[in-house]
Amino acid sequence: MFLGNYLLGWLADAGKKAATAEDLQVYLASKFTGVVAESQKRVSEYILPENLAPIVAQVLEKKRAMGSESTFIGGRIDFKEGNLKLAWGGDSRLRLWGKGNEVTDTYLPKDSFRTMERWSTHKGVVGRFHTCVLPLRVIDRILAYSDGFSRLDAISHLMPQDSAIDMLMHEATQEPSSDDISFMEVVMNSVPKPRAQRASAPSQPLLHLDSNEIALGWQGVPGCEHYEIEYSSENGRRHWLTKTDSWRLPFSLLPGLAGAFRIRPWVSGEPGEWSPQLNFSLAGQGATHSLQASETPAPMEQFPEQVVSNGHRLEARLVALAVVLGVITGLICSALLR
Amino acid sequence: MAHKALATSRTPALIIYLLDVSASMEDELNGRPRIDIVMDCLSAALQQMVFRSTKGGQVSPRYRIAIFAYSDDVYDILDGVRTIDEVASLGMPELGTLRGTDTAKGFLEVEKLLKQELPHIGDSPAPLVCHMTDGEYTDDDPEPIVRRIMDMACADGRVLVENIFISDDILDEDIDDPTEWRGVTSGSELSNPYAEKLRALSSKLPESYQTIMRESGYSLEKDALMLLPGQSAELIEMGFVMSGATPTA
Repeated sequence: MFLGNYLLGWLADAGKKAATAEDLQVYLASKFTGVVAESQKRVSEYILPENLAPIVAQVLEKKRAMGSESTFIGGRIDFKEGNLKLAWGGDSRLRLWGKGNEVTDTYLPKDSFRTMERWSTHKGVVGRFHTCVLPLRVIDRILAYSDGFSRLDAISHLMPQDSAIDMLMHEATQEPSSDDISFMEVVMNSVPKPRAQRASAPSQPLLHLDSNEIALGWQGVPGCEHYEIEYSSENGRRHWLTKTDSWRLPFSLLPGLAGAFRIRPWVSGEPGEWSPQLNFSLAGQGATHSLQASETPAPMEQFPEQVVSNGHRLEARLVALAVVLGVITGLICSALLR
Repeated sequence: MAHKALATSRTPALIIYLLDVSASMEDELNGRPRIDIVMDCLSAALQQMVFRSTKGGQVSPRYRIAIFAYSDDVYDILDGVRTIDEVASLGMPELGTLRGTDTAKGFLEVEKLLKQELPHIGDSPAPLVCHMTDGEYTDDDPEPIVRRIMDMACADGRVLVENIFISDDILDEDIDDPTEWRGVTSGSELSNPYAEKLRALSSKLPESYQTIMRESGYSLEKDALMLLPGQSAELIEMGFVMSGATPTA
């Protein structure tokens, strides 16, 4: 929260003055250094709740001594000047789209999202932080999210639609390693309309067990950009993507000895219907395999209604901090790590 | 089968402590009763688990803990398996010492618990049994039971067995700095026959555990076994740190 408030102040002040990425670096670096004394004081003065178990209180005191750390993403969209200014540190995700294609790798250095880089209440910037200034005309969509939503990482080179993001967020919360999710999306031009109808499920899905691998096949869906394969068992789910209409996985990489697979197509950045489930079990060494496709199709998953309007749109889902100051829009995505 | 599953609140790691509370645990090590050192180290290990499970002020149930103490009988200290947040609320148990060392009886209780737990382990990390003792068994040989336990497995791999053997005549070498020590391997010279037996009943340190141990400042080598010579309080502590070295999300 402290860092978030500080970055908001920066957005309204320095973000306006700095014209280049280098200017942003210099200005932000001086501000980050100057704020450490205050952040240290805040942490040291924080009063722990009285009802904590002693062992928890001891742990929190240890963490207090280490300080609090956070990744961050801060940005300023200035429609008047026609530019986008960004600063980030750590492995929270920042992704850009232009003219319908993902352009993250074009404009943002790939190795600049490092787990070891962050902001610390006790040390200031750990590692280094990164900045860039881009002409607004090349960007029409920005996604910023914390690593708790890494499920979205695999959806690349597509502009995922609202339904896709909601669906993936819902699914991410079901994963065993589910973590906090901070997510923010800014769309600056017209919003792509969702397809009137979801693409139909791949037909004739088949599951085959070879001597040492599992193979799936299905009839292709017209216009499909890629297929998503889901494995589920009572212990959780895993997902893979493929652009072809078949897929294989060695038993050694199979997370569990029994479960179910299903497949869905992605068309125009939206997920289609799931295929019926293909159940399987591997029993014992040498595999006495039983295999069957369920007779009933998987039920449609329900997701919240989408609110879509024409023109400029600023939308935030779950935990995200945003400020809208006239034509200035700032976005911050900050996740407390320790 | 690579012991790579992460301890998360949905896939918690099961750690079973089996602690010898025979009369000899009152003997002194570094000027303190061995049992006091063990309880301090166990407390430090549990605190480390709470540390790894805490975000803000909330403790996530990333670990599930059972503690058995054994002498002539076996005592279930936590009354079953408890999540780390429950253990944190309960506080550290207090243990006194008794008489004999019926190690087999202790491992039988562990085996019974694992039989109950394994069908429900799912994608959680393979359970770990951390056995701490300071001397040879006085009743039946525990080896057949420990071997059965080491043959138990889940999707993440075989059940891990770690032994912390408190004795000052296990290794010929002195370990001045535990952080520099490379660990016991199958080729290490051991000067104690019971240590030889415990080595055979200790799992190989998984790579994922080795990584966490390195992050904790230790230098165990790739082929190290989960056998800790408790020649000092620092080495006993190292053994308990190892017990909680399951990788977390």
